[in-house]
Amino acid sequence: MNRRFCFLTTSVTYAQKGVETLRGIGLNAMMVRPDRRDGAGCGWCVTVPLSDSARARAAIEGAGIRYTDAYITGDDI
Amino acid sequence: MSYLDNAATTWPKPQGVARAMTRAVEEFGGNPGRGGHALSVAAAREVYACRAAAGALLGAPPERVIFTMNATHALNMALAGTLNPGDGLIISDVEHNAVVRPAHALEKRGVTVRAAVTSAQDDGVVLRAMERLIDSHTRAVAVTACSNVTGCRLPVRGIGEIARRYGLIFILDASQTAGIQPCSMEQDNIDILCAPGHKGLYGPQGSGLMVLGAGAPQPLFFGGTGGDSASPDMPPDPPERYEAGTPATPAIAGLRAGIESLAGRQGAIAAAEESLAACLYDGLRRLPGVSLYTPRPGPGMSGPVPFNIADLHSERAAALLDADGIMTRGGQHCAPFAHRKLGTAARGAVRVSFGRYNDIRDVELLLASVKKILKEV
Repeated sequence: MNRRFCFLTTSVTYAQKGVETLRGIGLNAMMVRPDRRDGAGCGWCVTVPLSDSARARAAIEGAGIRYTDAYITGDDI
Repeated sequence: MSYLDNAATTWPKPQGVARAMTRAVEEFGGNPGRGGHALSVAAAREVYACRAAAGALLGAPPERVIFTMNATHALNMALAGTLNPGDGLIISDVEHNAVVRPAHALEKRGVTVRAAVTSAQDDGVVLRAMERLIDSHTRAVAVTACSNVTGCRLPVRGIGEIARRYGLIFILDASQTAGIQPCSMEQDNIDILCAPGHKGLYGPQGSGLMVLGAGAPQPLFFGGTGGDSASPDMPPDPPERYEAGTPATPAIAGLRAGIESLAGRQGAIAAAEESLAACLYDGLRRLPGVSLYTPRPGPGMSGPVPFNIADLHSERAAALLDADGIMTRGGQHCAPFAHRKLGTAARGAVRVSFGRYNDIRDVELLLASVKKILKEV
């Protein structure tokens, strides 16, 4: 099972910037709607392979992209 | 036919603009950022691509590019979102009503508004006037980068330096310069830049931008943004903080095509427009009975050329030119203070403004028509 790591952003703009940033450093980044019921309302997940989560976090934070949560997704995406 | 009213809106548009808008309607009409389905994501990609294109042109990251209906919409958001009762605002004496009217509305709510004198001959005049007007209540400066009547460019960098020195928020109305004259949000210390999409950026009407530097106005509109839905507050970050409701995706797609059509051509377009304006000015100056009101177009002067023909009211002169297939604009151009300054408040002026698709034949046609009108009157 190839689990992925999700950075929950607050809007589609930041999700797209996140995907662009991560793809720019060669990561397999994708943008999906989160399916976690955390009560935050809709948002957008930027996901990367779990093994790339540390690198992705550094890049996302380096680009000034705010995320409200970060977690391992339950399913393959 | 000769279209010479590009300061009001540029026409024609690059071919790609209509194509992009049609494609947005026909191929990905989903609501951007709202759903996770393919059409919504495709629309969101288009919107983001336009943010990136506009940001690259104006010197801002994509997320600080906010879509509005037009520059007036953006200026209202910037001004009303920044100023509170008791604050002071400095504008210039050549502002368009896009700045004057929101400023006047704020004045009624307790904001002090002062206008700094400008000079087409000496940039130092407005800079010194602004410094004299600043007091402990002054919170912001809002000026046009270029008068839509006189073509006089204000010293944006110098005004930005004053704003930085005094800790003021610098709001720039780039209606006449965005896409034509280069600017740098960072180097010019612009906190909020407001621009129409349908003028120098060659997008469709119904598109506009509010680009944030360090500025962070309060939002004026509230509603759905596609994210953070459980919160009753608007999201904390731009652009969604300022974009309540469904964006105009087809207009945004058209705007992107317009912006991308400028790639690498900005300098050449500006130079060509300045050259045409100078040719027109020289031709009009040789005609007895034509009144000119501004210095010859050149460094510091660009864009429109205002003039009058004999004793004709400007609207009458514009109508006579229109009868010859030449589209100019008479009247006061929504900038009554600029006309008072020129001494043309009573009859306005005929304004000619060039765009990237004009050439010397347009100047020749206009001069021939003016000569004909002069003979007839």
